[in-house]
Amino acid sequence: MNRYLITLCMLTFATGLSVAYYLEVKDRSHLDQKLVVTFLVFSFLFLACIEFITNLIALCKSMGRSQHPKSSSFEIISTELLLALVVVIYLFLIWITGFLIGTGIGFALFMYVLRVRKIFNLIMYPLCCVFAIYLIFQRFLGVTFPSPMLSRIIRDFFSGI
Amino acid sequence: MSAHWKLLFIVPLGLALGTSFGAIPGISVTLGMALILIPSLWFSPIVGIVFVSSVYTGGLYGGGITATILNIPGTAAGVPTTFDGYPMTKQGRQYEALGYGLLSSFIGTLIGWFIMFIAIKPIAGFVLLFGPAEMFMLITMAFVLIGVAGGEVLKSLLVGVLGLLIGTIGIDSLAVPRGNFGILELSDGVPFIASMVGLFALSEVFFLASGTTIVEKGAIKELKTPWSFLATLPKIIWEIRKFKVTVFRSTFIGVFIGLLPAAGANIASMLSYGQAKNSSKNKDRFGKGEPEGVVASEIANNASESGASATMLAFGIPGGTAAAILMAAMFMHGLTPGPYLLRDQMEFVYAIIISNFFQALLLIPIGCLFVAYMGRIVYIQNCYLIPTIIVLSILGGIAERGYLIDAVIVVVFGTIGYLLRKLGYPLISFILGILLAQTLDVEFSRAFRLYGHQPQLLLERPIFLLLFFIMAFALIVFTIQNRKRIIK
Repeated sequence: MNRYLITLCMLTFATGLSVAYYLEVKDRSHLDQKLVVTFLVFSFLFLACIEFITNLIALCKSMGRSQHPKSSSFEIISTELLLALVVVIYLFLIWITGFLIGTGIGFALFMYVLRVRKIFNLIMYPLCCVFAIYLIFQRFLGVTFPSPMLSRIIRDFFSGI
Repeated sequence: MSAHWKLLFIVPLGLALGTSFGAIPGISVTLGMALILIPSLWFSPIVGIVFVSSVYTGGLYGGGITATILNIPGTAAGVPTTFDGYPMTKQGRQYEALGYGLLSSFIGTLIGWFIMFIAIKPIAGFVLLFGPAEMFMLITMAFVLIGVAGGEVLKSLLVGVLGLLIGTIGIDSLAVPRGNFGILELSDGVPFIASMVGLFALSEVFFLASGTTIVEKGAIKELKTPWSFLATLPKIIWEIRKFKVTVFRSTFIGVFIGLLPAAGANIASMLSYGQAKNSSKNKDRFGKGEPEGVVASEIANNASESGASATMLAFGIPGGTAAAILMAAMFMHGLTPGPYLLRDQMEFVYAIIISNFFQALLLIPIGCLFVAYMGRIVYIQNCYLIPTIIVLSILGGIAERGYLIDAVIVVVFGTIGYLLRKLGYPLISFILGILLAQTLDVEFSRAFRLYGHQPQLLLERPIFLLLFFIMAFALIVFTIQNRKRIIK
């Protein structure tokens, strides 16, 4: 995807958020509550405007040139996108199943995306990682992980019975 | 008393970890420091911060190892080391090159911090002359200088302001939630650790994904035992005295460049190499295996740490990306770098400085231990390295408060960091913005109250005017040098 297009999308998104932020604070009564945010938002809008125009001009210039994505760069982008997708799935797994189980499954998924195919490696490495995290962080350091949605569902189910 | 004995093992551990992170191409010292932030919380403030500082020192040295052996700099600051270190390796002089790198790192760290030990008090006295207007101008100047150094002032200011906006999320001066868009967990602001880990560690992962392995197998011959390396050290110690002018010049360049906000080790090592080449009697041998090139690069690289840390300690403005993480570590331990730290807790500042002398001394045995075996780590395949980094990043985000949303914040900031780097926006400006937002909020409000109705009073403040003219001068020079590019 054209980098100028991505930049324009990012700028638009960031501008929207900053305007929403300004609208939230603009009616506050005390000057201290809104002074710095107002200054920053207007500074950002000014700078974003210049950057938007610059990128728009660059985008128009680049549209004229044809670009054939190389197969290797397409492959790179696919790996990165897949990795990003698996990261989102990993977060979802943590939410549903808890950190340790989610990490075990997520680690295996990451390795699979990165072209590991040996079943032994796909099982043992995540298991070792989860065990190390459990030992060091949960047992030794007492770190609290967020409780999984699944346990709440099961608890509610059995308390209902 | 308990802190003292812990320092005896935490400094070597930090140096070892930092050297490991710095030596692995693609895993920067800043990523290592970000991952160490959580473990540093297990200790008291001084021990925790010395831990992170040791990782920093080790990482600066570690970047030179693979730069020398494999022509792959482990950190951006290690790039000039490849110019002469790798040719020395190709000539079979890799231990000589590594020895120069190790001793240069030791000298750069020691002298750089010695300068700070002497000069931090005068800096502190000067710093206390800074009022709200000066602090506001200093913060603005930092962003402009970052942009000028990187060649992109507009981009630096843009992402800097965006970072500042994100840093103001939380509560306002009357404890009313601000900018959290209804998410209660953001009422305390964006969590520091989650955002730093995401920006540095997680964003790096997507760049590592572009290769199947970090290094191709067979690209390096098996190194000899550590004893072979130790045998070359006495000769190098004797030979390095020939470069005493380069040693002192590179140290001062490193410290001075390190003092400038966000200039950092990358620019220091490059400038120092250039200066050494221009003024050397052997300039024709630079790039072909001249040890003076390795010395100039590595000394400036390591000396910049003291300058960057001094700016961070004295002004509360990090002098580089790694200093930004060190600053984050200090915030996490309840310390606020800046003029008030120097005024009220000077003993803490001296403790950090003195710990760096200790780090410099321990760097020699740690470096010797690492040199022969470090090369093996680069063979760890990305398919194991990347999942480990992702898991540790998410874990780091969650471990601070136990909220799942912190994991989401890690991923969001990881995405932001990746996009910013991919699109050529300076990440350091964004991080500066997040770190300095609270300071800016306070100082800007104060400055507005004092001078909002009588701005002419600002003309009576010499430091404010000096900072303003430095910023204006940098912008003018930048514009003149880049006028052709700007017009195009």
